[in-house]
Amino acid sequence: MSTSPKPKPRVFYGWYIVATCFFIGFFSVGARNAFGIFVIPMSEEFEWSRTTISLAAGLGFLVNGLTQPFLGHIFDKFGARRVVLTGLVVIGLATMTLSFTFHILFLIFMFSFVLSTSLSSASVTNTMALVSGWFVRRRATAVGIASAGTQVGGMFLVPFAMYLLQATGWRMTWAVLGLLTLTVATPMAFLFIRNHPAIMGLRPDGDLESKDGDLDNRGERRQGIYEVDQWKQSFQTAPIWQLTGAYVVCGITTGLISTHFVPLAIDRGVSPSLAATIFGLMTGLNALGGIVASMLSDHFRRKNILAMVYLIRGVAFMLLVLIPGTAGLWAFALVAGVSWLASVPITASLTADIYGTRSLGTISGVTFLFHQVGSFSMILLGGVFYDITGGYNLSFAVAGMFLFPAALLSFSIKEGKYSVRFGGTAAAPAPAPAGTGD
Amino acid sequence: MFWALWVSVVVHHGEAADPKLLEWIKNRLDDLLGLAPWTAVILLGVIIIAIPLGLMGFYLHRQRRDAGSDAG
Repeated sequence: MSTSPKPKPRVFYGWYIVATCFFIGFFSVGARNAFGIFVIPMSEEFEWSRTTISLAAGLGFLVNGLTQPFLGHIFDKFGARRVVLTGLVVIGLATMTLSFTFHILFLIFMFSFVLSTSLSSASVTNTMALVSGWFVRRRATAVGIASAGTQVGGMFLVPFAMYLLQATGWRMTWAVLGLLTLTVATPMAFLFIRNHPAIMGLRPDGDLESKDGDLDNRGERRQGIYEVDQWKQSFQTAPIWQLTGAYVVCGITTGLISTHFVPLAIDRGVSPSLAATIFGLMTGLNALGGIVASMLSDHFRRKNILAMVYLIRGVAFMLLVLIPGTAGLWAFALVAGVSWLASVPITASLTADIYGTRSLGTISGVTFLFHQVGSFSMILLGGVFYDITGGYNLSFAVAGMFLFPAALLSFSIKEGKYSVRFGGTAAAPAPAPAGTGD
Repeated sequence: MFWALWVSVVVHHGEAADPKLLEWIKNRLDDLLGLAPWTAVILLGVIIIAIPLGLMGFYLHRQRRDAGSDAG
């Protein structure tokens, strides 16, 4: 059972976990997001077409989505420490190895398969599951901050890589990006990651004792009525399908924004530089919107905030379609920016509230796969609709229409009944948590 | 069919992170900061690694201090 709690430290150890997960996302995903800067120099040196090198990037995203449930399952079985650390070492080595690229098949193998698979072990999906085990009351806030690392990493690591590439060349840049993962993110993960609070004699949120004195052996207060040991059990219940259904729509809309927004803006007669500025504003609002929405969801019912996020995004899509010209683009950027990524930490936190943390890696991995399928499908459909209609309005209108049912789906989740925050039963003796070995 | 759709997308819409967009961002940064590439690399490099290294140093320092006070 749980060990007796230590005196309350000034800084709850869970915040070190949050900071570590933030920087894992910062370095690992940030490096992948820098792929775009290598496109021109590598294409020129090897005389590859844009389509050829784009295939490596696209396949990488696909492999990342497909491998996530499996890596999530391994995460649940062996614990965060082993899986994330192994993933980071492979990410670092694979990124460094990209500096030896000599053939497109080498790039596809190393980037699309090795790097993208290892990214699934140290992914936001897994780190969000880790953070969820360390917090209950402030779960969404902690998860929101941890997941913002990917956005902030893109803001710093991409310009860093651009200047480094200019100063040294693409081979050295890949090597340095890999080295950063190995020498900064990996030691940080080694020093800080512990699978759950009970290992350190702590309780979630840093509480000294439970208000109702009802703790299981992971130090959690109560057990939700749908808390599962096997991920398959969760998919026999309604809430996970409500969450996943809405998450597919999240994938549909974010995939469309990230791939087709800039071309749409240029199609409306906006200069590429202004299109990039509008897109930059939107991405800049991402991390902020995500954290604020997460904090709100720790104070109010998460399903209501999640529904609000989808509703706001739906309004943004309608503004884009209905308001012509540049005004529509700015309105869209402002409204969609705050809601673009806010759905991710809230969905992860609500899933943890309902199903517990024992199989959270796998459950989140499966829902992420659905998200990626939605994203991938809409990216493809966006291209097809463009070919048919000669514009992007139809794609954005169709995607936007899905957001209102997604809001309804989220709103209809019976959080008060199933979430451990509001209900739940006294915790039965729980099986030994995965990955207790530290 | 799938391959044709895939190629259609990548031909139309390029990379997940558009190199032209990234190049534009870099040009704006050049205009704004006016730094030589190596200066920017060092500056950004320090910003990037300072917080994680600082956090690790802070934690280890506190651990050593706590261990010292426990022994005392």
